[in-house]
Amino acid sequence: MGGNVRKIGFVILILTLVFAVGCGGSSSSTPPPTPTTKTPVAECIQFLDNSFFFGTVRLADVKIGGTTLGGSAVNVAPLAVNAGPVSTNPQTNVAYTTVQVCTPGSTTSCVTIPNVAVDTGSSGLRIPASLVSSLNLPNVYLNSITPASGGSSNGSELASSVPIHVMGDTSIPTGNSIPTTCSQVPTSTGSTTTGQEEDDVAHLGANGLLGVGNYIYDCDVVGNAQAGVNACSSASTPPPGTYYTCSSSSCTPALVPAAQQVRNPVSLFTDNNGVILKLQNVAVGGLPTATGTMVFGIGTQSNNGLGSAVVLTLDSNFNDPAWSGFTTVFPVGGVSYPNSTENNLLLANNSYSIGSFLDSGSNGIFFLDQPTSGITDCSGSSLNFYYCPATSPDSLQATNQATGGNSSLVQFSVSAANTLSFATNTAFSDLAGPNTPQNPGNPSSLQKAADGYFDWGLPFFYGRNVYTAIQGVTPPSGVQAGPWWAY
Amino acid sequence: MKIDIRSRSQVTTQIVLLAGLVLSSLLLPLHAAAALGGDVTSVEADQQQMKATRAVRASANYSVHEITTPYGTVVREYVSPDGKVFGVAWRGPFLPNFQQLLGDSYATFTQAAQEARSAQPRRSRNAPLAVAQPNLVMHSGGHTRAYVGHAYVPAMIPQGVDAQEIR
Repeated sequence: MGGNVRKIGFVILILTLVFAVGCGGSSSSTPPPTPTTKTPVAECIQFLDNSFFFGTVRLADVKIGGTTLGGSAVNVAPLAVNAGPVSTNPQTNVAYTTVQVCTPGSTTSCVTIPNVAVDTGSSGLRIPASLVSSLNLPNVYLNSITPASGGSSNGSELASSVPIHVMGDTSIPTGNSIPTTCSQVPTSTGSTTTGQEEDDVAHLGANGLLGVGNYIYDCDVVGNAQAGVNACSSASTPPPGTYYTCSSSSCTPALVPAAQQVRNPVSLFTDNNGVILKLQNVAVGGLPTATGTMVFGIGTQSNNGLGSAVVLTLDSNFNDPAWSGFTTVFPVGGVSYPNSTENNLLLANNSYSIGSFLDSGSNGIFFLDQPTSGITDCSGSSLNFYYCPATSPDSLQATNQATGGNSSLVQFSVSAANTLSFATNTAFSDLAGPNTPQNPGNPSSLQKAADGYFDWGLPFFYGRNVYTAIQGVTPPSGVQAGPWWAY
Repeated sequence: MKIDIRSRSQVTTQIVLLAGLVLSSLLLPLHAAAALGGDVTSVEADQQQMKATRAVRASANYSVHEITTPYGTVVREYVSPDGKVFGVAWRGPFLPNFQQLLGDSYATFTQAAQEARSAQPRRSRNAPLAVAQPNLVMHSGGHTRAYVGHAYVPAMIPQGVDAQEIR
């Protein structure tokens, strides 16, 4: 992010102070606003493999879909599965689309960004700072009025002044001094062990991430008052490693209202209640590339009806084992995951797994482990994070059961990963791995792992129309309100 | 603590520095007190660091200190009869601070994470992480708003306790 944005922020800060002082001297009957310093909002995203993103939250106009951006209609955007934009970091099972990002209110200060990865498992747009350095994207300030709106523009779906995550933005704080609660740099031992920052194009293997998940904001869940659900705005102590407010030199964890959190741009589109991912069928063994479309809205146009898809409502009770997901029964008629009967006898609230879920941002179907699934892990260091069934491909069936009673059968195949050609193909419907791989050096230690859930990643999406409905957005008549999935 | 003194008056600077020193003296012992593998007193340090509430339940073989953080993540620390934390578990909308929670085992975790990142093809960043080393067994899974996991030091598990109970 260039110095221009920082200068603009500084000018706004000065103007705010002048304005505040001016109001303080007036004789208006309404009390003057409390003079406050504008503090920019930044965000950290931490991942299970100890990698992280850090950057500022800024406002942008975001346009997706329509013929000028590769779609066939205003509410249709292209999907392509390929190795991605970084030849030295080729990707497997990543679906890309094209996004246009503009300075708010401008139709000329814009960049069109291809190869943005589509993720139904998160909410909000994340773009590396290097790709939007030519724009003037204003910072989002704590408790500022964020004028998000939307609709459509020039034949594309539009989210105006939507908070996005500008990844790796080193303008605030200066010198890229990432807070240790994000990067996890130890401070007491002098060790330099740290998380891995991966918020640039080279590490991402993508020009950004487009989160089109089940929620409007990337942390809080509007309308759900259960403790813990809206922690980013209302916990008594801010969750570590998520939102920050910054001075010019450092950032500290902070509570940030939902309006200033990174926002799912779809929630501001004309067709705003969800997305449909339609990817072509991919037979076992994979394909070099695959294509499809992402359709915005569910039941809002003639091209986005639900059809015969079965709705699986996400569990909305924070205290349920399947919170924010559903239950997968595997094999059909077998054991439920998450499994609420495998409890710690000593503890009352003893759920220790999480709900199963659909996620286009996962590049495989990750489920259970070798002792539980009966499917052999691959041996060999490079592939031992995947399954290598003795009979390959292994044809399997599971039932996804949602809160409210709907259920849907899934037929899927798992091929031995060591028989797949990752150099030739990038799209695989049959790539799967264990949640907890065995360690050849210490196999007995991982018997019957309890993290019993199914992460239905991109392999699940091939050959299906997968619907992701957004919570808190008013649906058209006859369409169930989100959050739900359907396929 | 990093302090930008360029734009501040001398008096303010001194106050800020003093506050920084006081804060550091408060924080450092807590960071030094590791949880997993540490003494039972480190549980209290964890509780303070997380600004959390704590409940203790005891069985014949161990006690469980259940720490509920203000942001919804519940951390359980399993303490042996001789007062050592032999296992930890967590569930909730945010990951715990692993550096704080894993203590001396943190380096083993980062090494395993690095190996996971180097897998070809690499698994997604939020694919579950598993560690199975002689000095640390760890499972860490989940997604935004729902994380779950546990970790233990195999050699420290008390006689008669099944590792499966660390949840």
